[in-house]
Amino acid sequence: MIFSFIKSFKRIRQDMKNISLLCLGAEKHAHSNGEDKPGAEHFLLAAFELPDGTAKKVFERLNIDSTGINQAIKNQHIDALHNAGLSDESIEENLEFTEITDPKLKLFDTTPSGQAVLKTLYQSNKKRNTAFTGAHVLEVIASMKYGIAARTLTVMGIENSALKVAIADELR
Amino acid sequence: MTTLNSLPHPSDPAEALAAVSSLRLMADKLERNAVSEAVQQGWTWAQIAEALDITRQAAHKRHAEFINNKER
Repeated sequence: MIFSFIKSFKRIRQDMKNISLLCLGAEKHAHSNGEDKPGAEHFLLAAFELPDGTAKKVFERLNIDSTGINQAIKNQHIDALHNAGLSDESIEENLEFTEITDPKLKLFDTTPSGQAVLKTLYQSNKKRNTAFTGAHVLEVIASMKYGIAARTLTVMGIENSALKVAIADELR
Repeated sequence: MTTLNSLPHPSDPAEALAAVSSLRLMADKLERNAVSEAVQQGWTWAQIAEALDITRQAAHKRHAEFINNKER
């Protein structure tokens, strides 16, 4: 009984540490792209920086290089803006941003897609009795059908069904 | 001046909404860069607010942090 309690306490402490790392990482990626709030795509990037390394292992199962995510986010914007009739030159010029290097200290906030990631992670965390990992973040993002994160995975040539299988295999 | 030759048709909502999302991001960045340039050229927050058709307080709240950040 007491061992089970200690184990559960250790897991909660580890989960809190990882969620904190995930949120800080997502915020850092948003700021380096000149955006003040992280969205699902920034949580996707941050998942690969969690110490468990499971997000990277999921991509390795699919033979996908995870270092290409940032460029894929940019490419999905370029595709969408091409579809809106904008030229390469105008897209390049207007997607330029200045990195937010010294943000004002304020409460952590996200875009609605970022909130959806955290809410779903929280709900799945309550049901699970294993530690929270980067693969769980991918699991949540793989369940999103629309939005920047979903389009980024499509741009990277990742099939949603294959991604879900790779995540399930990694979490097994 | 960029001419929009074509826009995704609303009958394809996935493409149309993706375009809206990216256009919004681009508009935000264009606004931020233009406000930064305006401040450097000596515009007041009242003038910037008038050009954006928002209140002076809203203009300041939305952009002051970024401008200060850029100046550091």
